[in-house]
This record gives sequence, structure tokens and C-alpha cells, in this order.
Amino acid sequence: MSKTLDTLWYTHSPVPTGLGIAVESGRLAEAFRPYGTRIQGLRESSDREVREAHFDHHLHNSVRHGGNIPAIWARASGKETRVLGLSWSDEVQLIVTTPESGVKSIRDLRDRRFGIPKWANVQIDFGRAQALRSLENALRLEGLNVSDVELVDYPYGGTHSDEPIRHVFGAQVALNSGNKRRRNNELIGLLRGDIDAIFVKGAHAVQMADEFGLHVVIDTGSHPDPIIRSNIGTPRTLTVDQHLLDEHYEAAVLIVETVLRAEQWAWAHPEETRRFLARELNTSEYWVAAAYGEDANQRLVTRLEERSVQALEDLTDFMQRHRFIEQSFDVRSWLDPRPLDAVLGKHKVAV
Amino acid sequence: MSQPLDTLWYTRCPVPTGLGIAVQKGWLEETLSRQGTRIESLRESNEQAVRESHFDHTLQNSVRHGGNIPAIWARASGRDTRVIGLSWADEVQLILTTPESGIKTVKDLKGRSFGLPHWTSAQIDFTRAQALRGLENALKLEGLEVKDVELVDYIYGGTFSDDKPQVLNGVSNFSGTRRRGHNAELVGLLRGEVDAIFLKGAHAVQLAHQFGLHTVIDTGSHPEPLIRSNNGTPRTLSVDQHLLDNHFDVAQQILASVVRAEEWAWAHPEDTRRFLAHETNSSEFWVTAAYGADAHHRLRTNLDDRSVRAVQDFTDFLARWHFIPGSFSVSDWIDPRPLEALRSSVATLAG
Repeated sequence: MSKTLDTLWYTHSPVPTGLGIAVESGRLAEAFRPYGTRIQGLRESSDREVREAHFDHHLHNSVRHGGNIPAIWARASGKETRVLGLSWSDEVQLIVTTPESGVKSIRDLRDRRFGIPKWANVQIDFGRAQALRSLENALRLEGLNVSDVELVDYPYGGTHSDEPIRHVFGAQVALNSGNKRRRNNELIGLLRGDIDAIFVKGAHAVQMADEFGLHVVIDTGSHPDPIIRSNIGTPRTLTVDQHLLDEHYEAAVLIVETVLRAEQWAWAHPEETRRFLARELNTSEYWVAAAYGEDANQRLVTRLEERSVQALEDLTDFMQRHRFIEQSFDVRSWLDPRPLDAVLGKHKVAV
Repeated sequence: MSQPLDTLWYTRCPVPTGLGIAVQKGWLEETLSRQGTRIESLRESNEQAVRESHFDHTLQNSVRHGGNIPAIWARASGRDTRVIGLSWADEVQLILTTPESGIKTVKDLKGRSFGLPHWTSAQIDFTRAQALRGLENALKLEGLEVKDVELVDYIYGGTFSDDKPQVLNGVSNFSGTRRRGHNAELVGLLRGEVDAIFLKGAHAVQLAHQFGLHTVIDTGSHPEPLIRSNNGTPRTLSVDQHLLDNHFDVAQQILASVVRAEEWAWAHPEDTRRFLAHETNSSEFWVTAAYGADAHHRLRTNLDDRSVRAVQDFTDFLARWHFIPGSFSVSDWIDPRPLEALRSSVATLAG
């Protein structure tokens, strides 16, 4: 490489990502070892500012693979980042209610109370944004708007970066986290009968729906229209900072190559991938299969597909419309397809 | 053996057991197939009566490794079963309350309400018995009795064997979807209807975390074994008398497979943790929280005095609370011959 890159900071959400597999399997460290670059997990840092970069992406020489909402927000806030790839792993996105509520279909949600988290101190409240996105998409299918339901806020204090993250038996766990902050207040509200419906997604959602016999009003994550399915995780963004691209372009290419190789490995190793996902999501392999499909390993594909780009544009408009970001921006000029093109050209990875 | 055994029925609880590992590793099948005996899982049978034998042990030529309550009940109800081994894997047994209840310690439970499951159609309601045991043992430590708290029943219909296990990706969730039971006591606790409940194992720690519950006491980690003794401490490895009378060597081979599986576990902490996560349909993180970082070392089947005394104490408890018609001698229930035979054959090999 032209200039020595001392440290590459990485971060991935506790969800299915190629970068997650590349990191946890040691592939990323291995790929960078010949160049003397050490890789460091920013969520594991003892410095809160560094940990917060998982959400605001302010660190130089960092790569992030995860939910698009913080990435969109960071870009809209002026952080100089670029998207190198998009991965689309469909997952369940449930609007659930209790059998007692009498809510059976989306239409029944009209004038009912919908519980939604509200993190008062965070820079970007992705929990609220993803719930609102699914709700809006669900309602739209029946010609309804978010204004047709009554939103009930469930306030949370603190931020998502207050404690360093450690991997404990695979699971990303916040050290010393008091239980209070982590508890699911909307779910408690629903079970108490204070509200009529909430949004839950992923492996945790299917488990909780089963544990408490919740009624699934709709799974927007399995709708045939990709725009209805698009949300924080569909697609996920693989982003780096502009500085890395300008100063260490080869490192950016190597990141993309390592991610793609990790994904190829996953396609051929369904068992190991499922175990990896279960550890990463802190759930059982059974619930992973229920939430991400029995073909979860095949869903790990990072590209820059037109469908994903359109979804990202739609999500950016959504975030602006609901004031999660000040203004929308041109998603296409946010993409930098060069590293992906270089890797696909070089290795002829099956498309 | 007089005549070869055609089919051995096996069953185990979704908890850490040597039999579970012996089955999953294929060792039980391998050992018995040499003499033409097939093995069949009774919980996966299409017949409810066969599945119910997990609880009432009516099936001839069957082996069960699991919670002792159904085993004790079956024996007390006149089934001709014998215990050939006992395994003691300590697990968390939590009395939980909400932060709002104001209950901090066991003493604070006095005069408060305690939610208990009540399965009206089950032959033996082990969920109620184990909750009552945890409660009684906790109260005893402070000189209190069960009558010092107000018991509130949460009624469940159906039985524990109504559904076959669901299988996704070869991973079973053990007891089917929860169409019948939905953590009614937990919902009652969250609604403020009751002040405390009992939960145990990996699900207990996960749910306690999820809902920010306060642990009043973990009777599962008390230094006194009799306080820790409950449905799973120790677990019983039992067979029917017919099998012992007519196929003694099969009983011996079962035990050999179980011991082999346990010895394998001691040397394979990683694989054992994954196995336990499968069995309990939980994550490796929660398995470790519930069964300890040394969970693999806790798999030991023997007939230790401590375990025998605990089963006797627990049998007396079940009689006192009318879960069984009357107590019986646990020593008479135990048949130590297969274990003795196994030990002497190992000694011969070693000699």
C-alpha cells in the first residue's frame, strides 16, 4: 500500500453482515496483517466518543457494515462517508398486537394506540425510525397514514454507546449495563394492555411473539414489494470515510474483497453461518432460521444493486419527511462503486 | 440377553443431559444398532399418548433423562420404573419481581402475592411444583412459609404433549409452538397483578434481562444442596422394569452411552455450549448465564448420596403438597446394578 495504515477501525451491527463474519472469523485481521495494519473494534473502545462513531461515523479510517439509518443520518449531517456496498438480508419486521386487543388486520389499527420508542439523548433514534417506517409501510398498503393511528411514546434515557461492547460467547453485550435501560418498554406496555400494537423485528421478534402468543398483524419484511420491505436492515450499508478512500484506497478495496470472500464462505457453510448468526444475535439457531430464513447464509450478498439503491433513496426521503434528518441528499453520489468494481473485475465473483 | 430388543424409546427434557448428547452424537444409535435395536424418539411421535409417556413413563422399553418431578410422579402412580442414574447440573432458579414492587429481599415477600402456573389438564403439573419448591426453599431461609405469601393461580388449559416439536433447519424447538401457554404469570407480574414469580434456566435470565426484572433470590446458586434441589437438580435417568428384566445389557449400554457423552463434554466446552443452546432453544450467551461457564463439567451421571438424599427430600415435598398420593423410598427405586456393571467393566479394561 502507498501509505501505511496504522489502524483500521471497524464496526458491525449485531445482525447478519459479511463484515461481521470477516471480523469474527479473523479474516479481516489476516487480510491486513501483511500491511502492518491493526484492526480495532470501535464499539469495544473504552472511549465513549469512539464508540459513538458506530452511529455518527466521525472516525477517520473506519469501516461500518450495518443498519442504514445511522449511516444516512451521518451523511446528512455532513460526515464525509461513502457507500462501498449494500447487502439485503430480508428479515421479519412484525407489527404485533395481543389477542385481547381485537386488532386483526392493518385496517383495524385505525385510531388505535401504537407504542413507539423515543430515545431522548441519542443523535439518531434508529429504534423509532425503523418502527415508524414499518408502520407507515403497513398502513400505506391499506390507504392509511401514520396520522390515522395514535402514537404513544416510550421514552428511554441514555445512549447506545454508554458502555463498551464485549463479545461474550459470541454475543455483543454491553458491560455493566443496568437492566433498566435495556428493557423493552413498548412490549411491557403492550402486555399490560396500555397500547394496542408495537413493532418488533428479527429473531427477537419471532421469539417474543411466540413467548407471549402475540398476534402478527403484518410482517412487512415478507411483502413482495421491496420498497415495503426496505427498512434499517434492508439494505444494510457498507461504508467507509472519504479519508480512507483518498489516502488508503487499496485498504478500501481489501475491505470489500474480504467481505465478499466471507460471504462466499457463508454460501457454502449454512451450518457454521447459522451458528455465527445465533451467536451474533444472542439467540438460538432455531430463531435465526425463523427470522432470517433457512437460507439465511445465501442472503449475505454485498453488491450495489439498483433495487438496493432505490430503496436507500426511498428511505432517505422517509427520514427527511419524518425529520430524522434535516434534508435529503443525492444517494447516487454517496456511492463509490470503484472498490467493488475492482474486486468483481479481479476475481470474477459469481454475480 | 434373552431375545434382542426391537425398539428402544428414548426421551429427554430440553435441558443439559448426557442422554441428549448421546442421541445427537449418534452414539446411542450406534451402540444399540450392533444388536439390531433401533431407537425412536417418543416426543417426536405422531401419537399424543406416546408423547405423553415423556411425563407418565407408560411405554415399555423406554429410557428418559430429565426433570425428576414427572419421574417421581410416575413411580408414585404405580409405574414400574427404576432410576439407573442421577445427574446434577446446577441452573439458575429465580424468584423475580419488578423494580416497582419494592420487594428487595426474601423477607419482603411476606404478605405479598406470588403468581403460580396451574395446568388444569396435565397429569403432573411440574411447572407448578417446581415454582412452589423454589418459593418454599427461599422462604425457609428466612423462617417463612408458603402460607406467608398469597398464591395466585394462572390457569393453563391443554397438556404438555399436545404438539409435536417444530423443526427448522434440523433444529427443534422441543415442544411445539406455545399455542397453550404464554408466560401468564410473567404477564401478570408486568401488569402488577402479582408481586413475584418463579422462572428458571436460560429463558429465566433472558426474560429477566429483557424486562428489567429484579432477582429476589437465585435458589439455584445457594450453597446448601437441598435448597438448590428441584426438578432439574438432580435429573433422573430412568428406565422401565421390563427393560431391566429382559434386556439388562441394553440398560447397561444406555448408561455407557450417557457416560461417554458426558466425558466427551468435559473435553469439548465449545461444542457442548452449542449443543446446550440447541437443546434449550436459547443462545450460547444465555446458556452460559444460566448453566455456568463450566456447564460442560456439570454433566455427570452417577448415584451420589447427595443426589439420592435430594430426590428423597423432593419426593417428600411432592407428597406434602399432594402432587403425588404418597411418598416412597427413593433407595428402593434406584437400581444401581447397571452403573456397577459399567464401572466394573471399565475397571477390568483399565486393569
